[in-house]
Amino acid sequence: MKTKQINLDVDYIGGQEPLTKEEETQLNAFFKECKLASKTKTKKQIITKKRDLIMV
Amino acid sequence: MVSKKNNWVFNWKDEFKQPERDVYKLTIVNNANIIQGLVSLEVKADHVYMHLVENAPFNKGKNKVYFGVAGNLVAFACKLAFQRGHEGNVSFISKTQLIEHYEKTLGAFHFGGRLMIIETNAALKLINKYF
Repeated sequence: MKTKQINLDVDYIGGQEPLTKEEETQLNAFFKECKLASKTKTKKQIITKKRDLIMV
Repeated sequence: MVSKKNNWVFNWKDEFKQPERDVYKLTIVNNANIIQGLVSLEVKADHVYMHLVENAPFNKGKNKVYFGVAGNLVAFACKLAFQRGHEGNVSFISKTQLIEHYEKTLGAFHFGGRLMIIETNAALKLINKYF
């Protein structure tokens, strides 16, 4: 079967009106949440590891 | 020379003057003078914002010399986002008609409105493909 090849080519990106304040705020809120989620995940992993060590 | 006169779409001279943005060029090994493509990036507090990406005029359209120039530049933006501690997160603005294309080709997701985001997993895929 012939596999569909995804072409990663775009000749250019951008050139639209700059980010609005509202868009900036939305992005900031999203990435803030991402970082928080990632930090919580790391914390949980560390706690789990500690617990494993105590058990050993 | 990089100018509209030489069939570049964006005004890179102006882009270069923006203090908060960095313009990076892609060249090939042993030929650093020929620019294959350019990208303008801004490292924000929590991610990298991609202002502009453009293939060199001879890398545009069906008869382009090299494929993957833009993909390579976007992968570089993701790599920078990892290096700056932003987990590979990159955002950019897309034209409505290209949103689906970027979803398929770059693994970006449509955040809403004109905004597109490349998150950690998609960023890793791009980096693994090009670096």
